[in-house]
Amino acid sequence: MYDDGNLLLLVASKNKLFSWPVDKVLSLNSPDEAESPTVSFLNEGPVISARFSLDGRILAVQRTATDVEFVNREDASEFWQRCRKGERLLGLFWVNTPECDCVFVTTGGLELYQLLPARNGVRAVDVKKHTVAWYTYTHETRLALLSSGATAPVRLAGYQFATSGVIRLPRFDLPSQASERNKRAVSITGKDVKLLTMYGRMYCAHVDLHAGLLVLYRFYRDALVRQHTYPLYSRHVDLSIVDQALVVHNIDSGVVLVLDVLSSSTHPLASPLPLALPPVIDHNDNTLEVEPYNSGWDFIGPDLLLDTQHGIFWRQQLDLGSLTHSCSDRCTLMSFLQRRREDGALPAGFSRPRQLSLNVVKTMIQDCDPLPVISRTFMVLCTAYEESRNQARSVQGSSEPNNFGESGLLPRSPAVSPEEMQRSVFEPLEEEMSSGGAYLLACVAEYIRCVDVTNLSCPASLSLLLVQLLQREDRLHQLNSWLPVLSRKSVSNTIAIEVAEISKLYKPSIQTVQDLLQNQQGQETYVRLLLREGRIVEALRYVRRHRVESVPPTIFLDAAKELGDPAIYTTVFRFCSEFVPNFANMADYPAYTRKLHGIIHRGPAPATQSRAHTSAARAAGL
Amino acid sequence: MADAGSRLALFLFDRSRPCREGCEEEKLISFFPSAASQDRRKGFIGLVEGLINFTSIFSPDKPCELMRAGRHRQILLQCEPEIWMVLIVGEDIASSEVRTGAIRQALKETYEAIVLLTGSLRNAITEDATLQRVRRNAAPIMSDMWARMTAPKRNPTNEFNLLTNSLSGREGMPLLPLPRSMFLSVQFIVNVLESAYGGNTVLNTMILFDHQLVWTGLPPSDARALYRFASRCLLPQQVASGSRSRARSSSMSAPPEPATAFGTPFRPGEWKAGSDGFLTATDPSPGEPRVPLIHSTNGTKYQLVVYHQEAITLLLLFKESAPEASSAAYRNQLSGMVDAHLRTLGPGLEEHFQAPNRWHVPGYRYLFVDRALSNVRHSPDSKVATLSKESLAVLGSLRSQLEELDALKGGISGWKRWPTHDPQEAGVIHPLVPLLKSILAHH
Repeated sequence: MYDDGNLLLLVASKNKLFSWPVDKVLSLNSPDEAESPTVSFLNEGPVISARFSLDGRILAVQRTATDVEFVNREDASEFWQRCRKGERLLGLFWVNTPECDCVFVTTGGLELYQLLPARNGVRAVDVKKHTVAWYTYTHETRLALLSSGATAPVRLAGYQFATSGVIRLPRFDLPSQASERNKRAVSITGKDVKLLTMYGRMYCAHVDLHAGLLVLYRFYRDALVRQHTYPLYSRHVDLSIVDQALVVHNIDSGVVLVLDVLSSSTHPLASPLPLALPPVIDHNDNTLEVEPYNSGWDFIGPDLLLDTQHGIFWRQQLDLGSLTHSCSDRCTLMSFLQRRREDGALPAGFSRPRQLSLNVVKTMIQDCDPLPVISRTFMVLCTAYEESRNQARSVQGSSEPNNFGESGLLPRSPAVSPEEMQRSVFEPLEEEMSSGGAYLLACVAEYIRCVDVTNLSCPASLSLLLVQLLQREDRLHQLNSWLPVLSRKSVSNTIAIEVAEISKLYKPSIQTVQDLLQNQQGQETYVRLLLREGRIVEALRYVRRHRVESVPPTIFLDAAKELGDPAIYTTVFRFCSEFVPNFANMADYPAYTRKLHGIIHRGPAPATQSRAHTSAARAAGL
Repeated sequence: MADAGSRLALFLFDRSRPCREGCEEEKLISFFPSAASQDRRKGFIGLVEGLINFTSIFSPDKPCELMRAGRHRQILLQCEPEIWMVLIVGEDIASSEVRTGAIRQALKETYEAIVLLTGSLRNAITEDATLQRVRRNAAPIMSDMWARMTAPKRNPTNEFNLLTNSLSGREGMPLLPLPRSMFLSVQFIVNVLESAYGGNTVLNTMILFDHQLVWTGLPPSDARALYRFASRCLLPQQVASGSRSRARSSSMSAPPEPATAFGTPFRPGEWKAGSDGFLTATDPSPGEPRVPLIHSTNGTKYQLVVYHQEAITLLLLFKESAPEASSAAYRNQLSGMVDAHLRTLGPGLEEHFQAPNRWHVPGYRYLFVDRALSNVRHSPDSKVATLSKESLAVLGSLRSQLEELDALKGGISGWKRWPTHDPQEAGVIHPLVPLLKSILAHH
C-alpha cells in the first residue's frame, strides 16, 4: 500500500503495520543498508487499507466494508467509526481543511469528519451526497473525483480539499471518444482515469482504450476543458509523471513514450524507448533477473513503480540523453530540455539538460538544419534564458545581483546564456566547420536577432565572430552594412580595433572603423589607431575635424619623431604651435624645439626645407 | 569639326585590333549616329587614336581622358584595356553646365550595363574574333544611351538635362543603414533564401524597397550596376502587366534605331509580373535561355530571378547551372518560405523610409559619396530642383574643379587655368557649405 499523503510505503502483516518513508528507500544503494521500518502494532483482523493522518499521529485502518479503526499512535488508544447506514465504504483519506480532517468515500457520497480535540473520536461535519461507482483521489491535487457510473458517458463530480476550505468543482460528463456504434458498451472505471499534475497544472487523464486515445482534460476553477488528445499504441497502458513529463508505458510492447503537454505537437517527444532497469542485487549479492512490465508491477504515485513479485521499489527517471538521441524534432526537444531541472540528482552516465541543449544546437548547425528551424530553436533558448534570469532576479531582489554565479540564474535552470552559446557552440564550430562558413554566419546573425528580440545583451565576442566570419567568407564589402549590428556602445571599441586590423587587407573597411568610433572615447581610440600605423597627418586632420581634445599633443610629436620623417615632424610641430593653446609653455616644449632644430640642421638645404614645410602643411589640409 | 554633324557622336572601339591603314572603322564595336559615313567614322577614330597615342607618351597608364575644344568636348573612357568609349559633344547640346565628370559617369554606367547584361567586352572579342558577338552585345545598350542623349531638349528624360543635377547620386547606390532589428530581419530573409536547398542554389540576393536599396551581398561594383538596372526596370511601378507593356515601353524610350533585343531585357516595360509574383521577360528572344543571365565583373554568371511582394523587390541570383531557377514549383516554394516574413517586413520598411526627413537634412542640399563602397547619400531630386539655376551652375563648376583636383592628385597633368577667387561666388554657394565640406573631407 502507498500512503501518498505522507509518502509512505505500507505493508500490513498479521498484527503489525510496517512503514517506510519512500525517499529513504529510494536513496539506498544496496538492500543491506536498508533501515528497519517503523512498526505500528495493530489489533488482529483484516486490513483493507490504511493511512496515516497528515501529522502522522493517528493511523486510520479500514477493517470492513463499513468500519474504520483509528489508532492514536501516541497513547495507543483507539476508536472506531462506521460510515452512514446503507452505504459501503470505498476508501478514506486525510485532508487539511479548516472544517474537516478525514474523508470517507462511500457509495452514497463523501462523509466529512473532524477529529475531536481530545483525539479520541471523530465528529461528522458534512455529507456530500452523490451516487459513487468509483472514485479517485490524490494528495498531490487534493482532489477527489467521484464517478456516478461505470459506462460512458460517466458523470464526474469533483471536490478539492484546499487549505482554505472545500471547493466544489462543476459537474462534468466524461464521454468516450469511441465511435457512435460502440458507445453504449464502453465502460469507464477508476483505472482508466488518473489525476495528474504537470507544470503546476492539474489534469484528468482518460485512457480511452476503445477509441485508442489518451485524452487530457485540464482543471480550471470553473470548468474542465479537454486540452490534449494523443493516440495510444497499446491495449494496456499505464501513466506516470516523471519530471513534469507524461510517460506512457505501453505494457504490451514494453516501451515507453514520453509526451510533453507544453509542446504543441501531439507526437511523442522521441521514438519509443525501452524502460531501462538498473541491475537489482538481492541480499545474497545475486543479480535478480527482473522482467520489465511483469504482472506484479504497480504504478503508484506520479513516478513510482512497485514490483510486488520481487519486492522492488523504483522511482522513474528520464534519460534525457537517450531521448535526445532518438528525437527527430529538435526544436520541440529543445523547449522540452529547457523545461527540465538542471540541479536534479542524476544517476551516473546521465547528462544534464544544459549540456544536452548545447550539444543539440551544435549538432543542428553541423547538420545544416533549415534556418527557420534553427531560428525557432534559438528563440526557445533565448526566451528560456530571459525568463529564468527574470525569475532569478525576482527571487533575490534587485539589491544584490549575481548571487547565482556567472550566469545570474537559479541553479535549477538549464538556460544557456549568450556568452555560453558563443563559448560552447559558435566558437568550436568556427574552427570545426571549414566549409559552410556562410551557413554559420547566417546562424550567428540569426542568434543575434533572437538575442535582440528577447532583450538580452549581445556579447562582444559574438560580434567579433561575425566580423571574422565575414572576413573568412570574403564578404568584407558587406562589413559596412553590418554597422547597425556591430555598433553597440559597449562593444564597438573592441570591434573597431579588430576591423582596423582587417582594414590593412581591405582598405575600405577603415570607414567602418571610423563609423564605429563615433563616440568620444572611440574618437580617441581612432586617433591612436592611426598613429600606430604611422598615419600621423591623417590623425591630425581627424583631430581637427572632430575636435578631439582628449589626446595630448605630445603623442603626435613622439609618433612623428619615431617615424623619422622631417617633413612630418615639422608639420606636427607647426600644427601644435598653431592650434594647441599654451604649446610654448609646455614642460616638454624645449625638448621638442631642440629636436626641430636638430632636424633642420641635419636636414637638406634650407630652401628645400622650407618647401617641405609648406607642402607638408598643405597636405595636412590645414 | 565645327559643322553640324559633328556635334554629337558616341562610339566604342577596340584599339588593339590590328587593321590595314584606311580601314580603321573595322575597329569599331559600335558607332552612333549610325547614319554617319565611313569617312566620318574613320575621321573620328583617327583623331581619338591620335590623341591617345600622343598623351600616352607622357602618361602611359592613364592617357587622355578629355579634350576640350572651343565648341565641343571629347570625353574618352578606357573601359577595359584598349577598349575605349568616346563621346563627342558640342556646346550647343551639352552646355558647360553639364560637367565632364557627369558625362564620364554616364559613359561608365553604359559600360557597366553592358558588362552586367552581357559580360566583359574583351571576353566577347576573344570568343568571336569577327566582333559579331561583341557588337551584338553592346548594340542595344549603346543605342538606348544614344536615344536618351538625342531625346528632345525639353524632354525631362534627356540625358544631358539629367546630368545637370550635380547632386543626383548616380555615382553609387543609396545603401543606408537600417535599424538594427530591421537589419537582422532582412538578414534572416536573405539567409533563408541563400541557405535553402543545401545553400548552393541562390548565391546572392539584393532587396529593394521601392527604389531604396535595403540589402545587397554583392561587391560594390556589381551591386552598383545591378541596382541601377533594377531601379530602372525591375521595380513594381515599372513592370507592366501583360499586354500594356509594349505600348508603355515604346513611349518610355523610343529608340530611333531599334536594335534587336538580345539577352537580358534591359528597358523599362520589358518585364512583366506573373500571378505568382515572379517577373518574366515579355519578349524572350527565341533560343535564349528563359531565365536571363547577368554577369559579375569577375566573370561569374548568375541567373536572375526577380520577385515582387508589394513594394519589396527581391533579386535572386541563382547559380548559373541551377535548374531550379526556371522551375515554377521551386520558385514558389522559395517565395513561400519568405512571404510571411516579407509581409511583416514591408510595413516596417515603409515606415522607416517614409519618415519625414529620413534621408533629407532640411535646409541643406548635399551629396556624400563613399567611393570605396559605392555608397551615396544625397538630397532628394525634388529638393535639388528648388535650387536656382545659378546655384546649380556654381555647384556644377565647383564639382568640376574638385574632379580636376582629383585628377591632379592622381598624377595627371593638364593645361588649365585656375579661376580667380570671387567672394560673390562664395556668397551664392553659402547654403552648400556642408556639402563642400563633406566632399572635401572625402577627398
